[in-house]
Amino acid sequence: MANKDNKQVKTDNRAKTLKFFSIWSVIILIAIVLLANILFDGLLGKALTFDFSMSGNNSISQESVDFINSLPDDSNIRIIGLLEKPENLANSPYQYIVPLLDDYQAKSGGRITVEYIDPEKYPSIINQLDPQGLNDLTAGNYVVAYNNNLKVISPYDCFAYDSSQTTSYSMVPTANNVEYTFTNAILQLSRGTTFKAYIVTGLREEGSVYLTSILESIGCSVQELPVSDNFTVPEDCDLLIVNGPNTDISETMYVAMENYLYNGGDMIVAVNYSADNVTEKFTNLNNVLHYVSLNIDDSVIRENNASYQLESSGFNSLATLNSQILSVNEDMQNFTQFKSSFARPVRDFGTPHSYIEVYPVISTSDNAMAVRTDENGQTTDYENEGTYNVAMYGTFDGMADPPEVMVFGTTNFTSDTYISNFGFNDSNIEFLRATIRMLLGTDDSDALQITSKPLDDYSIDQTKATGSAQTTVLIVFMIVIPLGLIIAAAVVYNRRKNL
Amino acid sequence: MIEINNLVKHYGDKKAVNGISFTVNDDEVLGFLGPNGAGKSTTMNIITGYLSSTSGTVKVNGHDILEEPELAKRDIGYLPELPPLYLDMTVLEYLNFICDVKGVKKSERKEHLAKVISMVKITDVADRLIGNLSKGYKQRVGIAQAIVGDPKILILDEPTVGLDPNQILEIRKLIKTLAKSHSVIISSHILSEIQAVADRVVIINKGKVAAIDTISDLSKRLSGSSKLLLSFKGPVKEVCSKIHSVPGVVNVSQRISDGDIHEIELTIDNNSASDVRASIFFAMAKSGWPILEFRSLDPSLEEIFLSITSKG
Amino acid sequence: MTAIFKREFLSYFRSPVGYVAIAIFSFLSGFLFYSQFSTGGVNLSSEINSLRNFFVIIIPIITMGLFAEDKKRGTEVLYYTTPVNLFSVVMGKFLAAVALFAVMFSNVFIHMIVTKACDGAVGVGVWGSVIVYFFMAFMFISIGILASAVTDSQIIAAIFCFIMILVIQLIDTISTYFGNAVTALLGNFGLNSEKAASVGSKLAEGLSWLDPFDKTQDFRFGVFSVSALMFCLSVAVVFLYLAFRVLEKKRWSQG
Repeated sequence: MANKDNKQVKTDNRAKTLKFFSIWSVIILIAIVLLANILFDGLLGKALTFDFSMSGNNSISQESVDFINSLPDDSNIRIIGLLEKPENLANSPYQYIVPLLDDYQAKSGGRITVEYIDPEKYPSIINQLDPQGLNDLTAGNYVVAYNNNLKVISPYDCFAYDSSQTTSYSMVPTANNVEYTFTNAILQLSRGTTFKAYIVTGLREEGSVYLTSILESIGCSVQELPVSDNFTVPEDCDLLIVNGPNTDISETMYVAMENYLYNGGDMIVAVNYSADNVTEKFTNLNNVLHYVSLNIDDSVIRENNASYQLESSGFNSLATLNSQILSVNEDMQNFTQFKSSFARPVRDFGTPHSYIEVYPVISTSDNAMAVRTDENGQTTDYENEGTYNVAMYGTFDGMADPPEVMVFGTTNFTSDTYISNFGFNDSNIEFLRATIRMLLGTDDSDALQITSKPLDDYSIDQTKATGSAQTTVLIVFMIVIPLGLIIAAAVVYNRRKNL
Repeated sequence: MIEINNLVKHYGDKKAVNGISFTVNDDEVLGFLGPNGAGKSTTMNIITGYLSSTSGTVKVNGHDILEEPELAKRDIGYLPELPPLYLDMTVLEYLNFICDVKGVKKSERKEHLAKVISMVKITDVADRLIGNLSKGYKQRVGIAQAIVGDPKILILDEPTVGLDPNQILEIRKLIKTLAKSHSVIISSHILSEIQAVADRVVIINKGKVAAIDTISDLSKRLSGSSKLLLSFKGPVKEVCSKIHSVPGVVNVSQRISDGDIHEIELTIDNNSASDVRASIFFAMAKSGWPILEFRSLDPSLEEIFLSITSKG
Repeated sequence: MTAIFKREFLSYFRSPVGYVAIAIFSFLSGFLFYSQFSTGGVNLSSEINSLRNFFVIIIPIITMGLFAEDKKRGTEVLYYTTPVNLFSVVMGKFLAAVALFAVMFSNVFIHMIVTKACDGAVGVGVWGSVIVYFFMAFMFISIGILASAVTDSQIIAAIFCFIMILVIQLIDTISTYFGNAVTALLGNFGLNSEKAASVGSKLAEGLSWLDPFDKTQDFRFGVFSVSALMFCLSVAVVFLYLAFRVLEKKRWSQG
């Protein structure tokens, strides 16, 4: 380039400076950012990780606080964990238990002490707590000790599990009932039990773990009453429960139960229509119910009104509280709708005694139908469209201690499957509590409303996610909004194109 | 006022601008004349801060464009060769955006825009989409964009290129109006364009300044000699010698012949006392050779450079 | 900055691009929401996290034109010859794209309202997912802006951005393969296999440290990590700064 005319022109130093600054500022920024992130992540990453998910799960509600503070000041409630205090809580049920118990201790005003004693290191603790060996003091369990009584709580009792995903290997917890379990344990120990409830077993029923827990929280001591040839209802029975039987009761049992009702006994019967009992007519059980003029049909309700359907089939549907029951129990006005699935119609049998009073409690819409399934699983229409009752209540008028019977045509109020899926706060379950209190004649002034805390529970209220609501969601979110935007695009494009 | 000092721009080995220096005074229209590829646009891009220079400085009202770019740019309104228009906006939306960019105060905006719009005469297209406007209107919107914010200096790169004659006249008129209150640098590769509007002219060629002069001096320099084109019917040789003998004619050269129709080019010494054209006309008429066409030839830019450099 | 922001944001709505992008997003998010709603359980965290998979499509569409179009049309002259700061131009365009994202995201807020009305859970985890979604959007949009700043072709910008986002989404897999490749390579060079494996896994670990999805995975459960957010934000800052420097190059470049 040694041209006389174009002598080599030196690039402007200021441009060079700018280039230098520009390139180095980028390099330095990247270096600083990388270094800062690595340091920050390494040094403060843990400290600056905030676990907001636990805050709700790790503190007790005002309901529990008020209850504990209502106990005498000199109460000494011991909660003993039969293990070393766990340090690494992640991915174990203790992650929700240990911090919550600490909160109990902190908020109890000295009434509650929480201890951790590992029975493998201090074997004497078992004998100390339970000299007679009545309880299951396995390592890992908790013991609540109060008023010289014990209640053992296993960590696995403290959660509800998704039954649809329960396999022999894994349990998927859906709700955190730790507070519910511990507060109710303290309540029971403080109050003792006032009622005796018997649950009839041996009828190929599913089981009543959660129902038992609910009865206990209301102050019942619960005992199983197995089927036998010389079946009798014990004298001390305040409430007899037949929960989800798949076979009919025997003749003997029918006599025993009718005798129980004759003596003013109270009963809850819950039956559904499932693959296990399609052919079952429950003749003997119906004979018992006829005593208060109630009857369970051997068909299944199909809801035809889409705004009541929970699945398009109509066998899962919403059912409404029938206002007639409010004349018996005003408290039930807090309820409106319930989930009902595979329900048998419950009806007035028409037993001709003027003192019998029968009330529909929960009813379908006007467009329901009773349907039967034949042996091939084919459904046939059976009765005309109309309103069917999912639950009814029968009693005698003008008696000092009348028999009282609540009959549910569905097991959505009492079964383990339902309660574990929907938790203790579901309106069906609240209604079950109200029913038990009505039959036992207790008011709910001293009942505790401890709600379960959702974990990975994303279920929405089935009463609102009806078939028609689903269709609305589909149409609005997948058709109306996108289409509206496309139309807006076309309109804007056309208007501006010709400006 | 703009001071440009020894501006150099290299693209690799190619020297687009090679040591240009000149000054633009306040409230003057400076013509920037040069053939295509002479470095006009590059120089203007450097002045406005769009391109960097290899060396040399540009100072706008005392602010160096490299060191204080924002202060310098505040005083400049720029219309590049390709007007920076958003075709998807209406004229008004676009000018409002330009107001935002140039920081025109909200309170003064409405009045200011009304003034600008009426000045460049785009009132009737203010609500139309820029993409739908004709080339002339687009150019005016481009000029409007440059004068928004009342910069003291306007730099217009070939503002009339591609317009029809009517539009060109309109734009020229507009530039003259603007010149009353702005310094303007206007570039073109057409002499008459510059002559029509500029006070002073900078002529560049191959990246270098060929001349800086006022328009009147330039015309004088250019008027030293001029060329005429004569088309006629008749014998070529005789006509040539006849015309060569007319006083004031310096040179005669033949251009095209088509049968007995011929075209010749005459170089005239303008300092001659009599009007050479009249003499030629009478000479031809006398000999009975009909003149088919007789007009003066505009000098090409190359010839201007030649004449300037040969005399200067 | 506000001037640029205003123009770019409104320009999404002057052409069909903005509407169509929102319509596509609405349809996709609506589909995810409906498919959950119809089974009786709505997990908004997983809806939002699924929506992150569409970054790779949506972000190139909305960022490709931001600078490339200006260069092609010659309108970039405005940013260089008017008294605006180039960094505020970058920020204005960045914020415009973020704002379009926010408008799109309003769909999910409607889903939240519906979920809440049906007594579903809109817990702290959902808000965690929302925060992560936006911080990741910051990061990816800034990458798209850089892609748009280095070229004057929208298509090239879109492809560049697409590949960058894809690589980041697959960084976990890539790091595993990378680690294995290094191990194999070192093994071939005669390093003993144990050492080679440890070097390989260290490298894989280092590379996967860059994975923003891994860093932020606990937000959906309500576990908020400041350092993860800082990572996303600082990546965004780096790319925006790079874009700024690429544009500012004209001031000193001798090319």
